[in-house]
Amino acid sequence: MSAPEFVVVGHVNKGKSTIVSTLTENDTLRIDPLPGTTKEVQRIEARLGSDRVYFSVLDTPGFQDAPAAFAWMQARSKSAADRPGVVADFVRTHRGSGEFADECALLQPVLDGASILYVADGNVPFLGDYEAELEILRWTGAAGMALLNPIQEHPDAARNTARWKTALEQYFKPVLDFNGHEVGFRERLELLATFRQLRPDWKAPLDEAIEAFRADWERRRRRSAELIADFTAWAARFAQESDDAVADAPARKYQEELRSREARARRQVEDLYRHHRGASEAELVLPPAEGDIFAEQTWKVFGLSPGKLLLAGTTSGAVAGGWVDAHLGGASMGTGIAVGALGGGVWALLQSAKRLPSLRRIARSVLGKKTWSYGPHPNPQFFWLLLDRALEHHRRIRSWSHGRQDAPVLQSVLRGLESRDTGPLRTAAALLRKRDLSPAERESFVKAVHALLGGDAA
Amino acid sequence: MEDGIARMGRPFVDLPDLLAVEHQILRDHAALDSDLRERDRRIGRRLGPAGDAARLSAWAREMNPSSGTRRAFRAASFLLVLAGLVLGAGASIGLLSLDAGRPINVFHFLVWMVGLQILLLVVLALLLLPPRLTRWIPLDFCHDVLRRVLVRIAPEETGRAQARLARLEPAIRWALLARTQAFGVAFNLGVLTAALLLVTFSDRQFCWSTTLQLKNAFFHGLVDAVATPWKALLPAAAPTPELVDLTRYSTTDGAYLHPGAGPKLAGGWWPFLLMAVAVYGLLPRTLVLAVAARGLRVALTRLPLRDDAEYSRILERLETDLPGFAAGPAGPGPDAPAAALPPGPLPGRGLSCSLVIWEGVDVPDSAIETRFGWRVGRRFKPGDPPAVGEGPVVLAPPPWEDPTTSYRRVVRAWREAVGPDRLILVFLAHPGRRAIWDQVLRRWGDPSLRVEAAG
Repeated sequence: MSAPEFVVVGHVNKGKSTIVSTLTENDTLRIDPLPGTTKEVQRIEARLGSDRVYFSVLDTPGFQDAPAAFAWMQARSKSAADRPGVVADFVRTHRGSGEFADECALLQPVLDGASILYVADGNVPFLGDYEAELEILRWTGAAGMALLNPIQEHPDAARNTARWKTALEQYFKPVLDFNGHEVGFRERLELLATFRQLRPDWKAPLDEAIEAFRADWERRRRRSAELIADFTAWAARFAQESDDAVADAPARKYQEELRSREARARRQVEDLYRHHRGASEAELVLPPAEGDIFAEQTWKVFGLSPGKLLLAGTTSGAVAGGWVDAHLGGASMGTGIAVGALGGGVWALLQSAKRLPSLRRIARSVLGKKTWSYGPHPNPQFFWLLLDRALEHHRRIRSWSHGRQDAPVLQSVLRGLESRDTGPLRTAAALLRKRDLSPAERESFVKAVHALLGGDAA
Repeated sequence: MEDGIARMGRPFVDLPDLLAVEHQILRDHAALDSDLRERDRRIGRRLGPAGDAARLSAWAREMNPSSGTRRAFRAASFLLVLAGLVLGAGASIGLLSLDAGRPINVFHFLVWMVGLQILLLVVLALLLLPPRLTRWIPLDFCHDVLRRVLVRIAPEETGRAQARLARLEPAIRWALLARTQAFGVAFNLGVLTAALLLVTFSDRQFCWSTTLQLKNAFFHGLVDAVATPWKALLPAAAPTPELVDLTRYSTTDGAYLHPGAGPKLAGGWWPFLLMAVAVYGLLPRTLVLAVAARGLRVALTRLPLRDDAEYSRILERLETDLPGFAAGPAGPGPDAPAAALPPGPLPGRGLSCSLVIWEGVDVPDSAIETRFGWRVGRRFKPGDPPAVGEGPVVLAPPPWEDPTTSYRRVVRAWREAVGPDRLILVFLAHPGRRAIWDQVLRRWGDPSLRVEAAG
């Protein structure tokens, strides 16, 4: 049995591509205000890997001149029994002729067995020209449903929608309101479930697809929780080190790095939900530090500076090596002293390295140069601010329709997470003020964030 | 990859591969999930069916085809063994060298080559005593080295990397123990080889000497106890009381205390010394090496791959397809925008025009007169046959509609009727879609066709 196919048809520029984008989570489909942007049928397959196709959605050019096309058909039909054949004749006659090219392109998949998904802008008045489209589709004999996708503003939108419904219900069952710009995952899944009514033999593959998409939605939610938790935990512990204490250089680097990492985490979340247009938001403004966030770094081991520690380590190693040399009666030719000094020096450097993040830092420290550090941010609200921003971003991205041409604009609002019954979050916030989280603590934090992300897999 | 597939039956990921996996996890941290999924699923399909450990190993090798981690491990192991051999041989040569013609002090050799090794073994045994057998092996140094490497690889993720490395601690402890014991085995082999060569190809005289007030019988009891493990099998390698009596040496006098001692007799200590090194040095180190190797294998086998979120995610990416959408070719794009032609001047006021008005459109005559100064001479429906008339032709389509072929057909019919120079004006009752009409009408290539909108 071939996979279910749904051909999205309708009048030119009445939101067909928006519906296809929304249904197939594809914000890269060409949606152009000019009529005739979609010139050929584009097939989008819902797949599992490279082998399994659950169903296909076909985006088509719109009806350009349905009244003339229908007039041609009416002139050649003698009875209701020959209507599908007349539609097929129409396509055969005009295909490649340059006339009725769009009508031929959109009718061919219907004649091949695809079900019809008729899309109309329910806000605008229902005209006789549209009736010609509906008649042509009825003549094909294919099963179909209709979606009312409000696009253009109209003073009589409510009355127009009612008239569209009355008209469409004579041709299609069901007729659904489906705003391609507003629907979320739940509505998409519900629409998929409705597709099952069109043909009984398509129920099984569509059920399978619904289950797979539902599981995948939950996977995205879980992965988002991990990304958000990991970023928040990192940012809460982040300290920017700098050799340059002039003016605001360390603070600037700190903010730049923080913003860069936040943007990266957001891109990763957007990628999970297959969005390629990033959300925009006012830049991260840090809360007041309420304390000394900016400090000179002085590292000492056993009370010794790195330089002194190096000297002490080398000397001690050399003495120990010399003792071995002495016991070997000089047979080792001073190797013990050399090896001991080297070993002692390496040990001293490693001890220093425990406290210093790079060899350059060690060199600077040995040479007595200063290093500055900015962070971690001491304000307790910092953790909650970052978490709130991440949650808000996730909320908007998750529900943002792929059919929209714009990107979501976020407004970060502190939602009192701190005061809510979020014990694991408070624990994570408290721990992160002192140290990094252990794997078990991280898992607990991820679970708490996961719970906050909301489960809307219908 | 073939190497990875060949090892499919192996129930664990070895340490170099595990560290390579950790390295790749850090490198992937900033990547997009969709990219990682595409990459890993491709690898997973090539791998075919296999166990978790084999999949992770093969993945690590695919990610790091030059096997840098594995090569570094092999090089470090080789250098450790080489260092053990060289240092063992050097120590043996040093202790078995004649010092200014004096015989070799057996006591020194026993202290350094047997006593010290027994002491180290006791320390190791103590370290292994607690319930978590490997818990007390000091790993700070090892951790520091790994941390330094991780700081270089992923400076932003050092804290996270350290947390992940903590999971590998049991395996790292056993691996460290195995490497040190390999060094110990090599050291003892070096000692034995050098000693055998020395006593075979040169004449060595032995003695025993100490500033402690030890009686000969006590010293014999001591060495006899040391020889207990092998004296029944190799009696020649157990010192006799006579040998002990005859080879006592006075450092002060620079001579053997017993007048009957001679060079031949003084060389009789070497079988005992070699057996002591073999039994108290080589044998325990070999046993501990075997235990450590077994412990490492068990630790790696028990490593919970599926319980770890990162490993689990890699395995899931390798073996699971996700539902998604694949778009076919998009077809040709929109036509290039038409060149912008400046609209010509509108005809003067006072003319009479023909108005073609579509269903659902409300354009009163007064709107045309107010806007253009033209009187509406006659109204038409789109399907009506065009009439020549005299003035401009005004088409009033639904303002929410776009210029489709259907409208073009009407325009063509009127153009044919009124000739090429007469103005045909599309008048939109609402300006919302004027720009779209404007652009499409230009494509129709009719210089006497233009669009205007109310408002």
